[in-house]
Amino acid sequence: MTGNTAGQSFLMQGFAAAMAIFVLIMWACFGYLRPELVNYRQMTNAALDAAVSINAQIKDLAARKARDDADRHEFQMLEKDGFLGEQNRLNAARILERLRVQHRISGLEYQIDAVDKVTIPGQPENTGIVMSSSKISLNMRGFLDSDMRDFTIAIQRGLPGHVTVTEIEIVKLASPGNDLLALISRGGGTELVSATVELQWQAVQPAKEAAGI
Amino acid sequence: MVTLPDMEGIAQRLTALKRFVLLIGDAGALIVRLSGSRVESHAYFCGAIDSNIRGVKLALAEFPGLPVVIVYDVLGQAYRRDRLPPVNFMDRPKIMARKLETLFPGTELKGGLRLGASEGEVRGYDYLFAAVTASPEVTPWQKMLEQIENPISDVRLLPVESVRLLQRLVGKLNGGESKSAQWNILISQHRTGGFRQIVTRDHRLAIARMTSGFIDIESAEEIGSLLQREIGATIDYITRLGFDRATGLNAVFIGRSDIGAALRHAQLPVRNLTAFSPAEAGALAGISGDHDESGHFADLLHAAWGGGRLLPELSIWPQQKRQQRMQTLGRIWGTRALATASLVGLIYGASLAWEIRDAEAEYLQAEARRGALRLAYDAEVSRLDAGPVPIARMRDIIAIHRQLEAADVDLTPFYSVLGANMSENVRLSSIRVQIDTPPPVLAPSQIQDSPPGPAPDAASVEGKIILILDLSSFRNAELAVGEAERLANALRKELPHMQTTIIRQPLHILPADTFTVKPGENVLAFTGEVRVAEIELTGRLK
Repeated sequence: MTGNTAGQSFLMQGFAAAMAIFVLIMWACFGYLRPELVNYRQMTNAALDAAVSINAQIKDLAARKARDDADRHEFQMLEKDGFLGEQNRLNAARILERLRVQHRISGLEYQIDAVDKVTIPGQPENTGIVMSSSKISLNMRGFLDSDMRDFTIAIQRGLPGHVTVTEIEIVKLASPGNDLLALISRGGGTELVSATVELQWQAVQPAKEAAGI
Repeated sequence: MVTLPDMEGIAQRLTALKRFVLLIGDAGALIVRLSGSRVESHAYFCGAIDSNIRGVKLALAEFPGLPVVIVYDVLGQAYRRDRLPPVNFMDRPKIMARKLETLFPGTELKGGLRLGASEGEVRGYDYLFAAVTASPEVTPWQKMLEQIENPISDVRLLPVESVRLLQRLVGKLNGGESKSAQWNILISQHRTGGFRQIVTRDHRLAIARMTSGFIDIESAEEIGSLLQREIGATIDYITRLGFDRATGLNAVFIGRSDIGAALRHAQLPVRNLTAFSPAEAGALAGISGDHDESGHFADLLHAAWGGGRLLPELSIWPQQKRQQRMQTLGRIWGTRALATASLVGLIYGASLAWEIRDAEAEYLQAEARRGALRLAYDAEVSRLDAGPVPIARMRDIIAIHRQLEAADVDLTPFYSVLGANMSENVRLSSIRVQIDTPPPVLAPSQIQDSPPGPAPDAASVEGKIILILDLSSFRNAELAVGEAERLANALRKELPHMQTTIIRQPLHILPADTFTVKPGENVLAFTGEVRVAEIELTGRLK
C-alpha cells in the first residue's frame, strides 16, 4: 500500500509537472512566439509598404524636379526683372527721365515716397515674404493724352520690380484752336493735356536675412 | 457486419495493451502476462502457500508498471437474477449498490450485469448479480494483492467473461451464425479448479457449475463417465429453468483430448458435442502466443480471454476502487496526453521560432532596403532643395508676383469703348481712374512643395472711373442732357459689370440737386451755365 501511495503521489507530481510544462509551452507558443511572429510580419509589411511608398516618391521627384526647374527659371526671370532686391531710386530717376523724353512729356514732376516694408504672412513655419512698396506720384503735361498713357505703361515695363497703377487722372488743359495750332506750328504751346498718376512700385526681399528679419 | 465484440477484438489487437491476468481458483492460481490477445508468458501456482504467493509477487514485480486483472473462478461464487426498477442513470449506481448490499451483505467483491428489460407487466430491468465470497483458498491471494506494487485494473468472474468465449466457439462451429433461444454448454478442464461448466441461454449465463477435477483418476473413460453424470445433473437443473430436452444442447469441451474422445463415445445427453484441445480453442478465440505446456488445461485460455478483454462483461471490483483506478488512469493518460501535446507544442514552438528567425531576417532586409531608399530619396530631395533660396520661398514670391500681375488693369479696352460711344459734339475734359488693388496674400493652404497656383481671378479688381464731359457745343440744354444720358446708357450696355451713374448734368435736374429757375430765364437755352456732365462708373474693372 505504501508503494501504491508513493506511486499515486508520483503520478500526481508527474501530472502536475506535465501540466506545468504544457502550460509553459503553450504560453511560449501563443503568448510570446506567435505574437512576436505576427509583430515581425507586420513590421516587415510596413517596411515593404514604406519602401514602395518611397519608390513612388522617388518617381514623383522627376516630376517635382521639372516643376522646380520651371519655378526656378521663373524666379530667375523675376530676379532679372528686378522684382527681388532693393529699389534703386537713382536708377528709377534715370529711367523716368529717359522715358519722359521718349514719350514727349513736356513737364514732369514726380515724387517717390519712402519705402514701406510689408510682411505678407505665409505658412506657419515660414516667416513670410517682406515686400517693399513705394508710392510714386507723377504730375505731367504733354501734347496728347495717348502720350501720357504710353508713358505710364512704359514706366510699368521699364522700372525694375512691379509697378501697379492705382490712380490716373487725365485733364484736358486747352482745346486745340486756331491760335494754339498757330503757336504749335511756331514751336510752342505743346501742353494740351495734364495727367496725375499714382503708382505703387513693389519689390520683394529675396531672403529673410536681406529683409533684416 | 462488424459486431461490437469484433470491434473490441480489433481495438485489443491494435492497442496491444500489456497487462497481467491473475486467475484465482480454489486449487491454485495462474498468472499470465498478456500483450493484447497474445500470451507472453504464464505460470501456474498450485495452492495458496507462501512460496507460491512469493512466486506470484516476484513474477508481478518483474513488471511493476503493468496492471493486473484478477479473474476469479472459485466455488464460492454466488449468482442471483433479480429486477431493478427503472431509474435514471444518475441514480442507477446507488440503487445497484443498495441491491447488491441486500443480496450479498458484507461481501466486498460483487457486481451486477444488466440483462435487459423485464418480462411481464412490472416495469424494470433484469440484472444478473454476482459475488465472490471469502474463503480460505482465496484470502491469501487477496492479501497478496494488497501488497503488490502493480495497480489492480479490474476484478472479473471467469464464468461470466467466458460466455462470450463459448459464443465465439459455437459461432465458429456454426459458420458464424448465432441462433437465438439456443442452449449451449462449455465444459473446460482447469488446473486451478476442476471441470468448469458454463451453460448459456441466448448467449447469456444461465448457470455455472464447478465439479471436481478427478485428479486421482487416470482413466479417461472413467472421467468421461463421471462427467456424463455431472452434465446430466446440470441438464436436470436447467430443465427447471426452462430447458426443453427436445431442442437439445450444444456442448463444447476443452481439455484433454482423450477425455474429449471418451465424452464423444459416452453419448452425452446433448445434441452435439465438440471437443477442442486448449490450443485449438485458443486459435479459434484469437488467442496467440504461449500455450499450456500440458495441452490439457483451459485455464490459460480462459484467463487470456476473460482478462484480456478491454471491456468486461461484469466487474465485481468495488465501486470506490474502480473510481480510484479511473482517477489513476485519468492521471496517467492525462499526463501522457499532456506530454504528447507538449511535444506537439514544442514542435510548433520550434517551427514558430524558425519562422520568427526567417521573419526577422526578412524584416531586417526590408528595413535595410527601406533605409537605403530613404537615403536616396533624401539625397535627391536635398539636391532639389539646394540653392540660395528655398523652393518654397521662390514659389511664394512667384505667387505674389502673379497676384500683382493679375491685379494690373489694362484700361485700353475701356478707352476704346469710350471713344466708340462718344459723339462728335462731346469733348472729354477729364478722366479719372481709381483702381482698388487687392493686397497680395499667400494662401494658408498653399503647400510648401507644391507649385504656385494660377493667377487669381482678374475680375476681383474693383475701381472707380469719373468722366467729365464738355457739352459746350450744345445750345439746347435738353439735347445736352439727352447726350449725357445716351452716353451713360451706352456705357452701361458695354460695361455691364460696372455701375454707371450720371452724377452731374448740365442742368441741376438730378435728385440731389436744387433746381432754381428765375423769372424770365430760359433754362433750356443754356444761358450762363457751365455745360458740363459727369458720369461715374464703379465696380469690377477686371
